[in-house]
Amino acid sequence: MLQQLLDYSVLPLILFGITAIQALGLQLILGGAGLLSLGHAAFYAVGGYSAAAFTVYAAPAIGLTQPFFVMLAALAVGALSAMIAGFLVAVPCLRLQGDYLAMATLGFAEILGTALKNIDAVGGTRGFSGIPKLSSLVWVFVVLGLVWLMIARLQKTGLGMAIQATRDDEIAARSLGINTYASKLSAFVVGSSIAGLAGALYVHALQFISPDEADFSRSVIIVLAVVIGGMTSLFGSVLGALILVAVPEILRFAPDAIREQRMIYFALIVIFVMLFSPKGLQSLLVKVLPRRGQSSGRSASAGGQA
Amino acid sequence: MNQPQTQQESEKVLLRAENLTIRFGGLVAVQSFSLSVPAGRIVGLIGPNGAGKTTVFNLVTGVYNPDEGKVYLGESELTGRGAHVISRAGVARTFQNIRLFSGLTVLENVVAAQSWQRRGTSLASLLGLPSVSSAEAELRRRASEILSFVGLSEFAGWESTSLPYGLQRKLEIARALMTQPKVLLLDEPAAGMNPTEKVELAALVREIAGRFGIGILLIEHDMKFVMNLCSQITVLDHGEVISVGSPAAVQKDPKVIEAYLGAETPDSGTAAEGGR
Repeated sequence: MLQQLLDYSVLPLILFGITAIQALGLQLILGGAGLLSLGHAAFYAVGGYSAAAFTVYAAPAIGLTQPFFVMLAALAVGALSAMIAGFLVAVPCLRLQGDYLAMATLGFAEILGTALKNIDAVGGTRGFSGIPKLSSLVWVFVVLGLVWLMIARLQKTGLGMAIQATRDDEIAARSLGINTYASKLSAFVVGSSIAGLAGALYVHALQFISPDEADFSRSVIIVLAVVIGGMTSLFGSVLGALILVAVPEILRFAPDAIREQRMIYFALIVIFVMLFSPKGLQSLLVKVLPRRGQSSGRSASAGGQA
Repeated sequence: MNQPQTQQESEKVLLRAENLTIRFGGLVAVQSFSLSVPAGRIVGLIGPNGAGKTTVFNLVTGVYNPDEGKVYLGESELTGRGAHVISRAGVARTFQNIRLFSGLTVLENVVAAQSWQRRGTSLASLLGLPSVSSAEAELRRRASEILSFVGLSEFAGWESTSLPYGLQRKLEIARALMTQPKVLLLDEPAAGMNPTEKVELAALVREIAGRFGIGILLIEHDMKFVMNLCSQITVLDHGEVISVGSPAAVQKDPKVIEAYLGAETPDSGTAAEGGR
């Protein structure tokens, strides 16, 4: 019984880890730089497809067979390809302000989905299958941990400061010598490459990816995770991912009529968060949990960003 | 920098604006505006509301590009360069409507002002290399020094926007100083301050000019504040310069009196205090 439960929980946990990595990447773009990307899943799909193509076609060709190193290389391919895609989309699109960036990234996702459906080498509409199982729960959570650490650390670097300053006030940031276009571009490109990492982990865990992964609805799920959890907090993004993966899993045991309506529940959660806790559910948690060791509240709030 | 007299440059003109003109549609917001700010001097820019004072700041700092005219810092021309390039050249400013980074603490607001100088170190600091972490500690130390210079040390860990209004203005000055400017543009720094705070601010501005040799261009509606601080004043009305000179001379200029009060004689010292 316990064994069954463990076996069952592996897949949801992997999905949670991957969604959390995606959310962390978007957190950097949305919460860090204040840019609304509605095509985050597209960069995830770019990373997933490229990593899968690498493992299936390129790795055997160059004689790389040791699973650990193939997976490591696939992660690098996924991150790099998504980074390049992010760069190509961002260079023209970041000249656009506000809603237009959201539209442009949305358009990119649609184009990518259509293109993938028409490339037979990666399965076309049937999806890309037959990918070796190289990733695991351990891989997912190790990468999740590393990504989390990296972004937390990034916030304290010069680049991270420039990104946050750009988000808070572009005119003031420029007046202090910050190249706001470069800051936004960096945030977008790094965030996209993190999505690519998630894609590479996904294809090697589920051994399958379909063009639907680039779909608008997938991008919305990631935006929801970041918004529900709390845009300004890394912990919030991971919490949001947990909620978005856990709610459908829990509803699995509910009657069909209730289960089918999961988007309605997410919508209700979003409305609740917007009304009662605009900084996301993480801020509610932080309020509820006893604040220990915070007598020096001033220095604590300085480190509180992570 | 190949000239030998760099040591004696403290009296030279740092910032020079020549015949700046900008039109917004049919409106000429600023017309043929010229001004110079020498190192270590405090120059005032006054005029009734809507005269174009902040537009001049925006022209000098690259927020707007002038339709005509040029801006120089020392020998190098700044006209038409991006705002961040002009800032890196040594022109810092504060804003009339305070623009702090609300997501950052007081100390981080000051540290962020140096972020562009840390280019190329981001990867190394991501990995936490020791050389970089000592550089980061140095940066924080310098930011703390500037905070204590403007009198904000005790608020270092506060959320920047939770500061009282007057202190937010001081934080903007601290942030501008962190960029190590040659020229500092202050847009109504005393607005919203009580009389005690204004006296403190005047001392601070004087010290910035005196101790660091920074040239200061000051927009302010509080006439007492301006007249006490500035060595030279330019008066702007409807986008045009109507008077230039020492505080005493400008105060007596009939054109200035007319611009502020119609044709009557001003109650000296507080002519436009009610303006804000």
